[in-house]
Amino acid sequence: MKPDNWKRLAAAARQAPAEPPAEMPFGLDTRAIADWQARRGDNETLSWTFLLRSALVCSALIMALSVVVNYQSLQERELAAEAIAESAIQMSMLP
Amino acid sequence: MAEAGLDMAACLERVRQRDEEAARSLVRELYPLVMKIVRSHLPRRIDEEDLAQTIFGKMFAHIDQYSGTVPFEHWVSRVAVNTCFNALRSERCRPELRMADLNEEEADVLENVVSTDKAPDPAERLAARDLARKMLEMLSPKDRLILSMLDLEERSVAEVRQLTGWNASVIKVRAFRARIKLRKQFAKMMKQEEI
Repeated sequence: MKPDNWKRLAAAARQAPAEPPAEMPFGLDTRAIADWQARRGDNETLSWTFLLRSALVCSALIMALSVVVNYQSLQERELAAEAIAESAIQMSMLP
Repeated sequence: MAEAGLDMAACLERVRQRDEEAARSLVRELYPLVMKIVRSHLPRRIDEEDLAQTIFGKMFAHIDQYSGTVPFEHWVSRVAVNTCFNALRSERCRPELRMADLNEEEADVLENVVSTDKAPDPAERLAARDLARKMLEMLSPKDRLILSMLDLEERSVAEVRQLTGWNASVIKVRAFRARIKLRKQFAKMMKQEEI
């Protein structure tokens, strides 16, 4: 059977002495915590932005809905105003 | 794994309440574990310190999702492995390894591995580790991660599955195919040596 070169290389690699234990570089903990807090701040800003955007969308929808609901009465009001104006003109033209 | 004196459960509770000192202790406690994983799966051109910081950032960002069903170190290991995997995936190209790219020690190791059965001496073992890592760099990120854990760290398929969340049969099939690729690469490099 053909020898498996990768397995032999991996076996040799495993015998390599362990790398020296990692000593934490100065300030890494501070940077990690600052990163965490910055993200938290971003998240809070994001949630406010989301809330404001939702409120804007909701108010726009309510406006559109109220226009649709009241469209008929607005039209009627316009017609009534026109009729009143017309009758006023006619009355003023009467001898 | 846990440093004597640090009560992990209490520390986590304090971190959840945004206690900075507890967060600092947690980073100090987990740094060796995270660094070991980072060093095993470090992409070229990425600084190990930067990657470790990213891992800690993710750990804190998702700490509320830790349910406590597994030891916290296992959960962090999984976060670290996934972060390394994403970093490996972001590498645009995977270099082709040629004989000319190897230093003298690595070329000697390669020749010994292929032609003799003799056990490597201590200096060769370090070169063997470097060569093995270089060869793994040619594989896809998933294959690299799997083979590195299975063959260099001697982890079991179950452990790899636990750390990556990938299916056991996917791990086995990928490892099998990746080893074939590496065997072909060996043959190619030895051909270059003959020329």
